[in-house]
Amino acid sequence: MQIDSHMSGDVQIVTVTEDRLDAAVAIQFKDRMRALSAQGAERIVLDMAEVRFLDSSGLGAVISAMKQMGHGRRLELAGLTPAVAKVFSLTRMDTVFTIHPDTAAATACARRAG
Amino acid sequence: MPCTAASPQLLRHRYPATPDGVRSALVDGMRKLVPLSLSPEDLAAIELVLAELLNNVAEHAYGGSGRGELDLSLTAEPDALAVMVTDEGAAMPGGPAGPAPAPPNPASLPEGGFGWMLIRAHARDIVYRRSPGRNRLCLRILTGRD
Repeated sequence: MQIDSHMSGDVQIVTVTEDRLDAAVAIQFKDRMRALSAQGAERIVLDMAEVRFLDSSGLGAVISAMKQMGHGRRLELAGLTPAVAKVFSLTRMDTVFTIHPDTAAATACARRAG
Repeated sequence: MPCTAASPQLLRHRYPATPDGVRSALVDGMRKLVPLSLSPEDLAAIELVLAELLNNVAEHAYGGSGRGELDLSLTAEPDALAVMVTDEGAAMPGGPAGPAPAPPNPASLPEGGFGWMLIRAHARDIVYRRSPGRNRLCLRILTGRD
């Protein structure tokens, strides 16, 4: 499971550099996200632009990662590819997450808000 | 009927009922679909339905034990892909013929319960049969409708 992380201002950008987020890597993903979110950024943007395939286990892992963030902290999504976006819309989880077109839009949004 | 199709069979193969076995089955299955020149939307729907079906077998029929095998067959029909999955694991409680459970409420941040919701969104003619020691699930994914 390949995940990279860097800070862009106050925002932690976490990039999944795998083309599948599925049952085979869901547990590893949750573990990595738990460790990364422990670094304490108030806002994490999960960049999924390289993820071509997401199944229900991968979706559950993303939701779990958001719940791990806890009070007052946010996990937002960026760069959903068409098949991934479809899973979010079919399950209506697109109503729960803030979804940005890409990480540039996500960080620009932070600057405006700040 | 999906289980008795006389159309050309694209794939029939047994795989370990493990996360890696499921990935292998998906790679093989999607490769066999290439000559059909399906749309990206059709291919995405097929890959998702197959993943949910096969992960259900690994996680529920075999209880995530890492033991057991599943058999996947794909058959091209003029306007659909017919899918049959068999395994020798535990019976599916209720089965897909029963009433659909309420979809998970997004606001409650559910981490599961999405698998059948995603299958039903894309599949038709879902037929489950339990025979002694064996599950068989057949369905169709309509293609070429975009």
